[in-house]
Amino acid sequence: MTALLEVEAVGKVFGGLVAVSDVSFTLAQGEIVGLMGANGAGKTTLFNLISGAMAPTSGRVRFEGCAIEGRRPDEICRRGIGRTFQIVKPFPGMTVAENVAVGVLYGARRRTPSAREVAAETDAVLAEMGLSAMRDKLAGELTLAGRKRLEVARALASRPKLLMLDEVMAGLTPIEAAGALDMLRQVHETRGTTMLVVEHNLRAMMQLCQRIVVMHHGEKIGEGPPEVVIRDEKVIQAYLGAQA
Amino acid sequence: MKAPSWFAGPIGGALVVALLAAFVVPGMAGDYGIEFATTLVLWIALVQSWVILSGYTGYVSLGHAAFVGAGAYVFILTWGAVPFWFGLVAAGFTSGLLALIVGGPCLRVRGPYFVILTLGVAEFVKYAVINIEASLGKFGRLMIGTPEPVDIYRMAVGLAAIAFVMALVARYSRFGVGLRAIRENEVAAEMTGIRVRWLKVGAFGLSALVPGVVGALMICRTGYFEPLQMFSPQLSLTIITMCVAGGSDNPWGPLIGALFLNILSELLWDSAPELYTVILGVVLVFVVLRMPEGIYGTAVKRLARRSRKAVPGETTP
Repeated sequence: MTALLEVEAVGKVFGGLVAVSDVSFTLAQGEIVGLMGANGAGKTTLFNLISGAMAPTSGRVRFEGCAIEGRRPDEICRRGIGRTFQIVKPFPGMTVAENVAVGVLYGARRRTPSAREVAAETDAVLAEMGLSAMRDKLAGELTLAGRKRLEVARALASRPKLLMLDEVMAGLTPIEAAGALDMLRQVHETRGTTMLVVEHNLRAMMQLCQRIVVMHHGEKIGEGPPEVVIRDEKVIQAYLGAQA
Repeated sequence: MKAPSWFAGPIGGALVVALLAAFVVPGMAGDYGIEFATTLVLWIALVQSWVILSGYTGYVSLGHAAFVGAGAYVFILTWGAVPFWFGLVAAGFTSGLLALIVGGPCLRVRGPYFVILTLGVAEFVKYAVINIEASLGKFGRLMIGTPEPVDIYRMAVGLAAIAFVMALVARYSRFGVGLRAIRENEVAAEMTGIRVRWLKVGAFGLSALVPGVVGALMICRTGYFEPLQMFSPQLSLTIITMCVAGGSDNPWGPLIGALFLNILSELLWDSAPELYTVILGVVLVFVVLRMPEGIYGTAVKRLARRSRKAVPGETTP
């Protein structure tokens, strides 16, 4: 499999604080990779470095072979990297359909879609994500689970080749989390979208991810299939606790 | 984004209303009526232009006075030297260019910082013009041979119609959807592929075109250019008041706000000349407190709530 995303020795320093240090890994086309670590491990910072919200202090990020580190977030999105946020950021004063339409209008496309194409693709994404009934509601009126689903829908509407999901299950009830897990699986099955997933829900990560990268204090301390990673001594000590 | 089936309707409607206003009203109204109607349509043009940046992106600008004044200044400088229409177009494009130049640095900040910055820019431009004029030994310029009031009125109607259509097209276009996404969450907008900086500066430039022409028409009315009057910050504040009263998420709100405030003050100043500003203030306080989304926004929300009650069984995921 060819690498879609290559993260090479990436680092980020804020003043004297090393948030991410010398992290390297790759994502192959169609793969689902999990990014695990305790709070403050540097997962969201790494997301920000890949998506262009921040420029790395060192290292390279390549997407489809092109260096993208330090490029603007909108440019990176149009190249085919979509993301969601740990603290959800829908467009609350716009309707659910309008939120998705933003992704269709500004996402990774060779030309600007016509009004008919926007309407058709918006409807298709809403149906895929089970949001059709809510299309005319304001995004701010949705529940947390609804807003998280909407963020995934908006990101998918931009036709990403790589979808980065930052804690889409955090704050959800077990039933809602199970629904979100099914939704992500279905997206992967139908679209074959490559995913990089940050999640604290270990069970969900085990079920969803083919490979897991573990971070601790900004460094990568483990990588491999989920069932191998959770038995790794270093990971157990750093992430799950010494007595686990 | 409903690039609505009724989209062509308001554009056609605006053209019909503009034609009627331009050719029927002068026959019905006297000189006073034409002066009032000119004032009204110039305010409509100003609020429509303001909403393109400030209503859609949430960047509340106090810079419109600078664009009105700059347009007026360019118009007076070119008066007599170039054809009338060329002067009008030059006034609009100069203001647009000024907005593009100052927009880059100004739009790096938002919220109250942007408000203060645009006020500062407007004051800076005002005093720059005052100093230039003072160094030339001029404290005001007279114009001779300005168009008749009825012609100015017709031009103002045309300008208001253009401003309305611009605001409407911007609202429902890809550009407008991007601007509204910026207002809702700038970080998320950028992460969704929107060139945030380009859009903001573009909207700032676009919103400054019409005020430049308004400035030119304003001095045509008075036949006199005086910087303190043309760059008055009160103009920017009045625009905001009209947009807040009407609602500023689409062109209808500011249109209603401009109609509401102009007609109300016109009715009041005649019947209660000592009290009319007090009454106007009370009415505005009421509108802001009871209708924070403006008259139009509140009406739309209530109608939507009623229609939702009529369709039971909706669920939220």
